[in-house]
Amino acid sequence: MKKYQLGEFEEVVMLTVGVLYDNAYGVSIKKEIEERLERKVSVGALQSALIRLEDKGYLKSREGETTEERAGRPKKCFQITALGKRAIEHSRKQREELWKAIPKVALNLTLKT
Amino acid sequence: MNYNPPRIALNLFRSFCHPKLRDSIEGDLMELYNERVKEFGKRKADRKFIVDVLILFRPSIIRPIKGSQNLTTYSMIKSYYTVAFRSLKRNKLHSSINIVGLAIGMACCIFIALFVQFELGYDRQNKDADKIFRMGIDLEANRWAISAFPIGALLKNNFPEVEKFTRIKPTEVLVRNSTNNVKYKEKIFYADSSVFDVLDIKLLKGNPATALSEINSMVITEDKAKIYFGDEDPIGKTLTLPDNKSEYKITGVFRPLPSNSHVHTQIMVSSDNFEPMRPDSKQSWNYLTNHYTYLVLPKNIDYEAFAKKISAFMDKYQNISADQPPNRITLQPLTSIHLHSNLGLEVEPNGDINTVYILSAIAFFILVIACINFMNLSTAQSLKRAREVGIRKVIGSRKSQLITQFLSESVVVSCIALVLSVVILTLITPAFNSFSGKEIVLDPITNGYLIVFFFGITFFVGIVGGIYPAFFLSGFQPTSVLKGSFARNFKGQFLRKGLVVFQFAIAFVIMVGTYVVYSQLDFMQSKNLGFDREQTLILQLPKDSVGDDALKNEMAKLTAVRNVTRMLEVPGNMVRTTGIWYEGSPENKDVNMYIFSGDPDLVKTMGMTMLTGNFFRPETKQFYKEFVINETALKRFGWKMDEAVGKLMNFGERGKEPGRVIGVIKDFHFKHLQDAIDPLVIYLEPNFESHFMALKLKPGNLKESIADIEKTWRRVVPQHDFEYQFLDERFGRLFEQERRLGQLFSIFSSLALFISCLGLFGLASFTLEQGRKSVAVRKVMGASVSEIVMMMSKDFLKLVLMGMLLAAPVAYFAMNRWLQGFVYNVGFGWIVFFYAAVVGLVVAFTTVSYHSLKAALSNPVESLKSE
Repeated sequence: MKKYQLGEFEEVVMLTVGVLYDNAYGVSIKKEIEERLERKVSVGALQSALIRLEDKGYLKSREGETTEERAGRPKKCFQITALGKRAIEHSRKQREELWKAIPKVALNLTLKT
Repeated sequence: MNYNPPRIALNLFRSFCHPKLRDSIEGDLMELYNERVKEFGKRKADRKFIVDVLILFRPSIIRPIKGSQNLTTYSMIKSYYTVAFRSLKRNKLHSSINIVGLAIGMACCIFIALFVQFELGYDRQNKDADKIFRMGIDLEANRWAISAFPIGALLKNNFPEVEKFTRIKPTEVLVRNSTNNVKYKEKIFYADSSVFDVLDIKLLKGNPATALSEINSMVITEDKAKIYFGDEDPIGKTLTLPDNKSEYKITGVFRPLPSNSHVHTQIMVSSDNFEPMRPDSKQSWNYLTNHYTYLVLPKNIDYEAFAKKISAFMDKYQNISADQPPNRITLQPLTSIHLHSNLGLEVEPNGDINTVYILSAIAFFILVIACINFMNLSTAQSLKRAREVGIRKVIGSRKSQLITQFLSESVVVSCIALVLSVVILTLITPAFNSFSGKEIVLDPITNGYLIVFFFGITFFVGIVGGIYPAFFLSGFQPTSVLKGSFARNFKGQFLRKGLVVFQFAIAFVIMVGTYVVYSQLDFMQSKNLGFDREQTLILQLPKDSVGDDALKNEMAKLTAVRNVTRMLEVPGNMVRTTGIWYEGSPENKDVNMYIFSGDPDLVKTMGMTMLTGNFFRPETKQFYKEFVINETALKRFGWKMDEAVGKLMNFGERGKEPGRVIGVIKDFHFKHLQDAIDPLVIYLEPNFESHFMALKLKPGNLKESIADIEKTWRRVVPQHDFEYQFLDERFGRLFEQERRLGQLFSIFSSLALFISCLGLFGLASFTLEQGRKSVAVRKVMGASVSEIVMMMSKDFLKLVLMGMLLAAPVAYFAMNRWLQGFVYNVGFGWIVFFYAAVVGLVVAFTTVSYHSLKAALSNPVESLKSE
């Protein structure tokens, strides 16, 4: 069922937006991902993911405050929509079902010397 | 504190980013950048910033090519044009007046621009155009374009500056192909073989290094080759010049120089064939004739200083002592020959920079007149557009948008006019080219400037003509316009009247100019010149019959001929001067003066008058020893009339046996009427310098008389062709330049008047339409047709008259100055103002009366019943 399409990076972005809750905008999302997942995120990749997610209706945005270090440009703050919430829940459920379906023995691996 | 990221990267980002996303992403970038500067330093932060910007260049972020913004501007402009075309269609009369007027104005302007470009481009196509200089020489009061034969080679050997030189000497001879007996009189040039290099003449066949290096070699153009040899290959064939009995071998075919060159040569022969041009020639220094030397000098040389250097060198070379007149050699850049040079013995008659200025001014003013029409008609129609403007404003249009709209309308009109003017141009250009011998090209591929002219003029007309109406129309107050109380704009009316006044002022100046040029031309052609030029035939005598009386005696026997004389030059364009000593001359030295010789029948034949003493007696043998001077010479020498006869005079210096003055002749115009009469010395010589023969004919059948004369010619000198000219026609040809100016003036004055009247016509139709009701009411009250016509025309005629009053002083000063250029001028006649005013008023009245009559004759019921 292709009801909720969510790529891996998109899912990460969605979850991070959730983590940051009220302060989810370009730079903070980028930093959060870099810190928690220890992976590099380019502004370009992040922005296009955000645009995509907004187009799909999983995120919504509002204009935030401006600060001095942003040279007077407004922040664009993101929030998860109800549809977005269902999408990540759906993906999480799918993962869990997959986890459950793995036979115990398959994971019972030991290192052989 | 904030740091600034690299500007280029930031601008790049701004340029490609979607406008909706720009601010927030830019904010992110700035925030990151500032943090990175603190953390890593500016260098690394800059680098990362650039990388970020580059990575942002992806489809979801780039702005769409057809953004929402473009869509609105595009459709708006489209709507402007639709509206423009609709309003043009609605007012067919006004639109066609506008477009026709503009098209004529633009055609004039483009045509004159092309002509000016052509004139300014003379000789510029030469590869060394800015390095070539022509030598000239100043002798006494006269400046000549000529130079001595050996001077080129001498300078080349003594001055390292002289890179190359070439010499040409034109002459008119008969050229014949002996095998098929095709023969024509041709202007041929004796030329050095360096002519190909210096004058940039391309040889199509033959080797430029050797083509003219040998004696009896000749090069011709393809056109001439076709005439003499048909389709055969001319190389190796021969042509004969019967005058000097030599055969020339064709060694090359060349492409003629473009028509905007000061030299047009079709046939060139080796300079070795002209004795004085040979390096070993003996007589070469003393022989000055129409021979031209061109030097190739380094770029940016101070050529005036170099000319002084040459003159000083020549003084030393020729051992000229301090009390003799020094050499005055001049140099002249190749490119300035056509427009800035008017020396004696030019290769061909040149143009004049003043004509270029006058034409440019006229072109500009005609265009202005056409633009004024446009402005007037657009503002006059403002009432019709007022509602549209009101509605647009109410809907939310800004003033700037309305201005754009009206400007785009005027650009549409001027584009249509451009199309029409191109049609006009393609019709007149070939006619002009064949008439004037110029080569004006109307092809945008070969003449890139054409595109510039087209679009420059269209743009100029669109903006200049459109800017005032645009501001005027866009300034309406929507409330007053839509309420309907807006009736007439008095400010606009005042300006419109001012413009009409200005238009007619310009037309008036050009009309007065036309009249003055023509009256001067007429004056020059009918002025008493001091000799009779009616019924006089001029024959050019063959060189081998110099001194031979046979032809003259035979001609004198003819019944049709009253008198015959032979003379050195034809009065009207005499150029020969020499040094003459006379009793009481300054410092007892010779003075350079115009000289002339004619046989004893000169006075009788030409109808000249002796004031005192006698002309030469027929039996006299006092060659070179008897002189007749003119009145001006008498005055210049300070002699009294009764003491002149018997005064001593001689060629060169006094000598042991000086000659005597035997008479004083009444002044006659031996030069162009532009010049004052100078002192002239007439002498007698054994050959009677038989260059020309003048025959005074008895009144009668001209054709028969000429046939008789030709028969005699054929009998006496059968080896030469018979050619004749009438003296009055030959004299009339001297005023070619003035005549051409007169023609141009009359064409442009009628065009200016026509365009002005077009405008008046349109304006009148509009104003009278507004006044239809008042006319109807007046008619009902009992006004007569003539009263109404007078009432309606009065206003317009007042404007025309006012324009003329304003223009009169300008016309007076301009034309008076032009007349000052002629020593003998007709003077400024005030009557010209009267004539021009009558013409202007009659034309204007006729124009307006079409509408006023229509209004006056219309049935009042028609205008009053509506509403």
